[in-house]
Amino acid sequence: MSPFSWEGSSIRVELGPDERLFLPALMVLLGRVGQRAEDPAAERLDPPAYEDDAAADAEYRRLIAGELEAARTTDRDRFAATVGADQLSRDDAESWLRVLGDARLALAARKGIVRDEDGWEERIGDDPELGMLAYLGFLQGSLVEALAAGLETTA
Amino acid sequence: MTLAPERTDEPSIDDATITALPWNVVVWNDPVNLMTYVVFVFRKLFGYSEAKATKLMLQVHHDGRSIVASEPREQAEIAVYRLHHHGLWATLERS
Repeated sequence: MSPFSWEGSSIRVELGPDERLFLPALMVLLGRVGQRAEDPAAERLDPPAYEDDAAADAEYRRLIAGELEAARTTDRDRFAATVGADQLSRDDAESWLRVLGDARLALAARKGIVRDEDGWEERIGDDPELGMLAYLGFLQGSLVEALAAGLETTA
Repeated sequence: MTLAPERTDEPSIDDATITALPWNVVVWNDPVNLMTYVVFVFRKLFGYSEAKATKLMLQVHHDGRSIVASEPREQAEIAVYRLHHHGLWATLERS
C-alpha cells in the first residue's frame, strides 16, 4: 500500500514511527554535502550548466548559486517542518520529492554510481546503503505517483 | 520564482545577436532518478502532456540524452536552473 494518498486537497501520509524517526537523517546527510573536499555528492547536485565553456559556466553559477541554495533551503525547511505531519500540502509534498531525490543522488554519487551499467539494484542484498537508496526510491516513487495523479486533475 | 539575472557588461551588437539564438536544454541520463519522477518533472516544468514527457524520458534513458526544450539563452538558463533544483542532470548547448 502506498504511504501517500490524496485526501481532499492534501496528501495523507501513513508512515510508521521508525520511518518518522529516520527521515530527519536525510537533512543531516544533505547538510554535510560539500563540507569535505572533492565531494562527489556536491558535484552531482551542482553539475555544470555549460560543459565546454568554463567562463559561461562561472557566469551562470554567479547568477544562479544563491537562488538555488535558497530554493533548497526552503525545501529542507518545509521537509523538517512536516516530517511528522499526517497531511502535506502540494508544496510540502513537492519539497519532500526534492529532498528525497537529492538524498538519493548524494548517496549514489558517494557510492560511485554514475552509469546505468553500475547495476546498483542487483547489489542491494550486498550493501545496506544500497537498501537505503532503494527505500528512499520507494518513498519518492509513491509520492510521485500521488502527485502525478493530481497533475491530471489540475491540468 | 524571483530570478533577475543582471549582466553588467554593455551588450555589443554581436552579443545581442548571439543571445537571440535559441539554446538547447539537454537532460542527461543518470542511474538514480526514477523514470516516473523524470516524467513528472518534465510535465510540471514545461507543461508537456504525459505522452510527450514520457517520450522525452525514454529518449534520455535509451540514448543517454534528450533535448527537452529550445529557448533564448536566458530562459534556457532558467530551465536548467529549475531542472538542477529538481535533481536532473541538465546542460545548455547552442542549437
